[in-house]
Amino acid sequence: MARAQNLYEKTVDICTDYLGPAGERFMRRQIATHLGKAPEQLSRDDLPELSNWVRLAFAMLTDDSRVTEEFSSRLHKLYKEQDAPRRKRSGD
Amino acid sequence: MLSIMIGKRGYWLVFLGCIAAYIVITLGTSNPELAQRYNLTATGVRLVNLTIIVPITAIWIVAFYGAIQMKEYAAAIHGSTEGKPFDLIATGLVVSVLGFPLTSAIAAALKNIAINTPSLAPATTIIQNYATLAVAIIAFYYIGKGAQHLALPVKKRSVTFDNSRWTLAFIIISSIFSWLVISHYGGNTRSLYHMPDWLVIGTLAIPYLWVWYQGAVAAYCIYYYQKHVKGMLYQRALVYCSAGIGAVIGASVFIQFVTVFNERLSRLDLTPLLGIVYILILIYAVGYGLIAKGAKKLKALENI
Repeated sequence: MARAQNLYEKTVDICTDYLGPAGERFMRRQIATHLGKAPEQLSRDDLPELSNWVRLAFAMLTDDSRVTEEFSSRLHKLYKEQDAPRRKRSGD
Repeated sequence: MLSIMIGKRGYWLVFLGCIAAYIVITLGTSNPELAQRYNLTATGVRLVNLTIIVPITAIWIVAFYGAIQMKEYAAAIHGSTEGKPFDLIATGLVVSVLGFPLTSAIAAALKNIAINTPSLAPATTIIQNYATLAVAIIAFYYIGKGAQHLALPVKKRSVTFDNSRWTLAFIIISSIFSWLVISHYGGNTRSLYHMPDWLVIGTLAIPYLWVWYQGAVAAYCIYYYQKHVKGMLYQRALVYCSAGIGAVIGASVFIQFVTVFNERLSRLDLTPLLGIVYILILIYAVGYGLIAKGAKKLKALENI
């Protein structure tokens, strides 16, 4: 049976669509450097800050602002998705 | 291992040393044949040489920068699946680019010897031809091997690795090149190689064809790999590397074809002759410029 992905793996999946095999190393560096955490400790509440740092990093990697925006919005979508199960549990 | 022993600064020192040797020997060697043919003074010959030395040195520096960037990228991803293939490609690039000033310095020194002792001209030509070939073989052995290793995981997954499109083009180029060497259509190639035809075909033409094949396969493998791997920014960087290697191989093919036509070309005026040299320099500039750009982009992915 397939194991459910944790939040860090989900962010890596998104990042891989842009940076390929460099995606996991990139995400690991961003989380460790800017959030001061181990990747596996990444929580939903870290996503907005992570998204801001990643947006800055992407701006240095490409002049294509659409790519930066798309990546950032996908992280934001992930943030919202992570909220849904919590709301369901709390009966909202 | 070699990288650890020499280091980045060491590579640059060796490279700049070779360039300095090449410039000193080239500008210090009188070329009475050229001066007489084009009615130039010794200073005029030096100035003509400078118009070639300056752009070519600039290209070598850009090319070396690209090769070192690739080497650093390979070091940054050491231990990953792509680490080893990129290290092999980077090693090939370093050998290739270090080989330019090195073989050019050797060629200039040998030419000096040949001018002072004309009886040694055949020997110096033969040494120069094989020195250039040896560098190309070593460089493209590594580049080809690295690129094929890189494409291996995606080749296994897909059955669409079809290189038949350019196989025919390669057969045509090979046949024309071999025919030009043997037929002496472009001029008397015996005075060019100072060896019998069978030896030229067996030990120069065939090895060059192998080098071109390795280079073409490398460019195709990198292109194929980027087509089948995730990551749009990663793919963009790889496209530059693939196109750059393709252009460098194109320049190598161009050089060998121009060499075969040496006798006919030597009858040209100085302006068209310099035009051909500048076209060649331009192709190299585009090729190594693209590789440097791709390597820089790849390295940036690991630095931010």
